[in-house]
Amino acid sequence: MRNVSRCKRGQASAIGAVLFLALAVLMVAFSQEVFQTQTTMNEVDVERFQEKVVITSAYIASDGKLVLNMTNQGSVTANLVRLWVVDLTDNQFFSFNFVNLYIQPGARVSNVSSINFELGKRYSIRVATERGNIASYNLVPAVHARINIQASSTNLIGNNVTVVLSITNNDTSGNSIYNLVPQLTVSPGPSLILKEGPAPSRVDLLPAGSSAYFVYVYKVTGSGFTITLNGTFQNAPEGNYALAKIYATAIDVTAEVTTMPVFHLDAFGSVPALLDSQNNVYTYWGVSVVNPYNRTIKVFSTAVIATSSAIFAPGTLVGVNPTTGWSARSTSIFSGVFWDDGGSPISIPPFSVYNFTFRIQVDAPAGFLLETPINIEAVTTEGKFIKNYATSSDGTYPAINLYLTKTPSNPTASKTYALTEVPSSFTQTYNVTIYNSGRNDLNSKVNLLIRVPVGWADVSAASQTGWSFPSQSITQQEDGSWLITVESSSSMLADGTTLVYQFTATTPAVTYTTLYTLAVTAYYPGFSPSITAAYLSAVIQVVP
Amino acid sequence: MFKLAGARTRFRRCNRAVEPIISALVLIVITVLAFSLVYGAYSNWINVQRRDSLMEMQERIAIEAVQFNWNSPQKSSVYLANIGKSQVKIIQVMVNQSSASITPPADYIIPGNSAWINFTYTGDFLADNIYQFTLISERGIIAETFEKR
Repeated sequence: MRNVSRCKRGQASAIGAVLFLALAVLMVAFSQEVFQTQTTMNEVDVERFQEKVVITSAYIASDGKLVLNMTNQGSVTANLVRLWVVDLTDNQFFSFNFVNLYIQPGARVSNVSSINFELGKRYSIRVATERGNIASYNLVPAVHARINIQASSTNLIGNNVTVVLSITNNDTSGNSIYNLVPQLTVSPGPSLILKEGPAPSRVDLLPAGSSAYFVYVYKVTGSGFTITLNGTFQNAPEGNYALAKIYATAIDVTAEVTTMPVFHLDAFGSVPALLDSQNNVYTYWGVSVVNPYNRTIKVFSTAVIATSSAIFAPGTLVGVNPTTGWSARSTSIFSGVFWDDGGSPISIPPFSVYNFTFRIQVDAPAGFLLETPINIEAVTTEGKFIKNYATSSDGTYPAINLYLTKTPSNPTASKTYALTEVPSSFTQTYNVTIYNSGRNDLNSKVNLLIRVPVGWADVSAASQTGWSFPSQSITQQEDGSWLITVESSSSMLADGTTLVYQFTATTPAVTYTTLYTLAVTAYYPGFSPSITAAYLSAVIQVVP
Repeated sequence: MFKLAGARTRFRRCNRAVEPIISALVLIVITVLAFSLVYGAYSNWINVQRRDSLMEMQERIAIEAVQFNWNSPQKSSVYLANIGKSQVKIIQVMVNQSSASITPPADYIIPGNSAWINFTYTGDFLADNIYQFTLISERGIIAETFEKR
């Protein structure tokens, strides 16, 4: 009986155990299912995260088809399922399903779509992968780009000039410019004749951050001396262009002429003429040593020598710049003013000028002295340089000095023979000053001849007191330089008086510091002989 | 006495001989019923979990494209890919966090498929402006994208 009763209780326990076991199995199975699902989806997410398809470039080929280059930069194979082309200009959509287009990790594929693209529209290109990742690429006909024009500033007529138009896509939104077609216009048109280029004629694609360079070769005809180049590209946003001015000249740029930038180490003089030889008046002289090289030079000595007459009064010499180191010597047949370094030469940094100036009384023998030679000399670390000038003196003459002043209201207070640190493409007024420091009147009008170098622009002068406006002429010469001629209103320049002529001009656009000379001559048509004339070589340092 | 005692004992057992069986049966029935209830509840819970949580766990969606102003100024579309392993139904579209009505109501998208979700937005889509699009599935899964008109 005990066994029977135990057996009956065992059935219930067994059933309970079975049911409990079934429940437990169900729980375990479901837990396993949850775990398996989580694992699977984690793998899906990880693979999606590891997938990285990049459109390395997309552009519209010359036949109007879209060329798509893609790279799988991820670590899993990517299945490309769809291409989207969004016409952002007209808000239209196109999609194309890829068929079995797989890219292995690190592999590249190119795809040419069958869509015909219209140029001039904005497109967004997208490629969707099976895992739901999207690679995008924006194609635009234009964004506001950085444009530069590079060409030699001064060009010999008849020669070729190479112009490089560079266009940089600096769009911060990552848009790529497609079908970039450069445009370069020349004004006046006939001044340059296109011989070659642009090369290349177009660029399929200019991704953000990239630059394209287009080379043009022109022949310089000489029809215009200041030539404006306007560079842009097709479909460029309004106002997105670059301007550059270049200059045509008939003169070999290697020649030593006053209308060109200074290319060689040299010494220029500013020499007064006429000279009042009787009344022992001060006259003002300048020697500018110009260093156009990219290296420092040193000056050991300079001199202003009247080689065949004794016009300087040695005891009256006053050094202005520098104030020391000066001496004067005179004999019956010559006289000279000398500056010696005394063991401490003056250094002239690259692309700059040093102006030696002094004043001295003229003590010429009484009587007429016509065009006595004046030598300007300088000894430097790179050799000796000599230039010849001339002046005339007489006891009845005035003393006519020529210089620039920065204070036209008080023109005798600042006498300048060189201007430094003048900005590139900068318009300012220049004050050419004539000063009769003698004790005799100049009984003649004064004619000024001012040569403004090649490359300068916008040379002009308004009507001004002391000068005959109708006589004024400002012309651009065939070599591209400018010539200003103007005559004083009065036929007399009294002793101790000044006459300032003001003109404005714009310095050239320079990419490195460049030295120019303003060559100014003052002559006196009512004076006989009118060969004598004061001369000013004003050196202008133009900085970028 | 011993025998009597033993006989009494057996008698008592014999008297209670039916009860153990009944009680065992009752216990079995109670056990089966209880476990059936537990099993049923648990099985139901599992089914609910399979239908909802597990499906939600396997739901993945990706917006491939947005088309502004399709057909009429306010009607636009979002192209949605079901990249998960359960079917998806979109029940809400939001533009810049403002609700837009899905017209017509979206169908279920089976795994591996994709479809346009059309909606009507009362605001304007202005050119060169960036808009935020949020799609919410019936299981609460969210897909989001920013698109420039």
